[in-house]
Amino acid sequence: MLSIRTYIYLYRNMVSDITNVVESILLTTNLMANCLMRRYLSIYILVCALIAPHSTAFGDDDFSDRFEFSGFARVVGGLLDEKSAEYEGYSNSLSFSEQSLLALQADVRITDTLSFSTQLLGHTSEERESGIEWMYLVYQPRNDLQFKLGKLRTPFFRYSDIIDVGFAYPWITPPQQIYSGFLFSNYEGLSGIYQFSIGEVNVDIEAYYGIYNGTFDRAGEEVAIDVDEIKGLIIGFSKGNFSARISGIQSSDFFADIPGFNDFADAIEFAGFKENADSLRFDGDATAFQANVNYDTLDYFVAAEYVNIDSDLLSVPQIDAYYFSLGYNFYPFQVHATYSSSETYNNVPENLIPKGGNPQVTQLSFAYDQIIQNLPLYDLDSVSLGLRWDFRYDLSAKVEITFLNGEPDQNSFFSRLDDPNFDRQATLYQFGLEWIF
Amino acid sequence: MKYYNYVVLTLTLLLSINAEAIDIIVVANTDQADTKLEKRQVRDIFMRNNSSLLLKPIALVPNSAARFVFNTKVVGLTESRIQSYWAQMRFSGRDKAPPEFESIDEMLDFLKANKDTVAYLPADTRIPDGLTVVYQTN
Repeated sequence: MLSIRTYIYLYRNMVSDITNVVESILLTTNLMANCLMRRYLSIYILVCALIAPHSTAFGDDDFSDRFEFSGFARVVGGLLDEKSAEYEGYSNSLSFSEQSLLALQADVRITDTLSFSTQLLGHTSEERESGIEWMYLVYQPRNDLQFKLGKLRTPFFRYSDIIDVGFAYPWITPPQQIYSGFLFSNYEGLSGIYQFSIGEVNVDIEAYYGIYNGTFDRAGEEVAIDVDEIKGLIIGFSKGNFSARISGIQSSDFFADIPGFNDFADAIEFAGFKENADSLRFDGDATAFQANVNYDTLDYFVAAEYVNIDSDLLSVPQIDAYYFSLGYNFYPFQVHATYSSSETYNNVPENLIPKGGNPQVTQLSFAYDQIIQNLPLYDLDSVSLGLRWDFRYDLSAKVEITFLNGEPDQNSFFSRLDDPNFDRQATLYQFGLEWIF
Repeated sequence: MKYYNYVVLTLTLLLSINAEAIDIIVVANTDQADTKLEKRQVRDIFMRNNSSLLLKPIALVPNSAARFVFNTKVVGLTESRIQSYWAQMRFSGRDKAPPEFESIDEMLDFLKANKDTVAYLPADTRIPDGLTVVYQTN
């Protein structure tokens, strides 16, 4: 509490003190330059070239008109009432380093139609990388048209691109059946948004295209991945306090390096069983479909979201997941309840490797069966109850309790499953502070 | 101590304002002096979710009485939900909240100086020449 207060104080001073602003810009530029030198040199040169002809105007122009700094932070503590497993990194002892984070965003207006944004993220979780989460150019030729180019956040589902901005949603932990991160938080590419109205309904159409090289979180396990092509289309509707969104994503030419899978696939292929070998390689397509509805009033909200992920690869299961959420406002407080559920299964091809002939081939066949049997599944039902207190317009405190009910023989989004007798039932207790600035 | 004051201020404001009893007007600097807007159009302008409405909105800072009434009567959302909405828009790079002003006088000065801008004000505000009332709550 004290450190947050100190931070606000420091931040206020920073805003009022132009020297500090300049220093922080230099620091940000420095950090950015380091990263850019490695991967984004061309964007950096482009931005410099674009800013340079206008830089003389900086003296006359209101400085803060061109540069805008904002950010968000969250401090989240949590505890699982279970000794023999972890859930989202939380174990039997209180931890503040699973979801706590601080992010700074800089928006620079280059011309009336062109701007540049970057977001630096410091995350406490071991499974998330800290650094430049996104960096892109925005070109807005018209009021109803926007294009972005660069490193962007992936807008897979309703909250995917702001999953780190806890202030923007009611929960501390959004339903993990949907937001557990089988997908990845950013991509490199471009996106376009077109906005129009049909009668009283406002419509947004967003298309994005890109690539991703990095890691993805396979429900707690980090896997190296290369995606040559991500294509997505989002259609959003809103009318008054009602909003809805449907979207589709296709990721093709996946290559994921799950330890052991590829070596074993090579061995099977060498023995002549290509179909079974290919099923173990994460070298194919995954598609996802999403739909959500949301209705907000002064007194209450209702929200629901459904996601289906379909893949022809064994390293990503097929998923059907949804949540249903209800909240009641008695400002500045809000209570909410959410039921979430997921069902998963694997698209398993028939084992064509014969048993009983060549002992080595038989051994491969049994090993293949073994791998199939051990593929993790993620069925989980959960109920979460939460209270949010907006004690300032930019600060809110939350408490949340989540009752988890998984399948005894499955992974069910738990990790470090030490005890085979663990029934996959546990309760997660969390509290947190959300801040935007 | 600062925090305690904020909480007290917010609570006092909430208890002292009966949104139903206060009216606001929406005022624009526009060449079309006969412009009249419907409530849903005003909402769309201030939530920036309809790009065919070309007036640029400006707002009062949170915790001002007129803003509270505007949220309640026109937008139909709590301040917290509106802040969440703008956080989602800003940090996903889609849009930004309207510029905010500390006082009604500052807002009127900005309105007068900038064509095609629009703001909400308490209904009893004296409107300078050149500005048009485009919507009124009742």
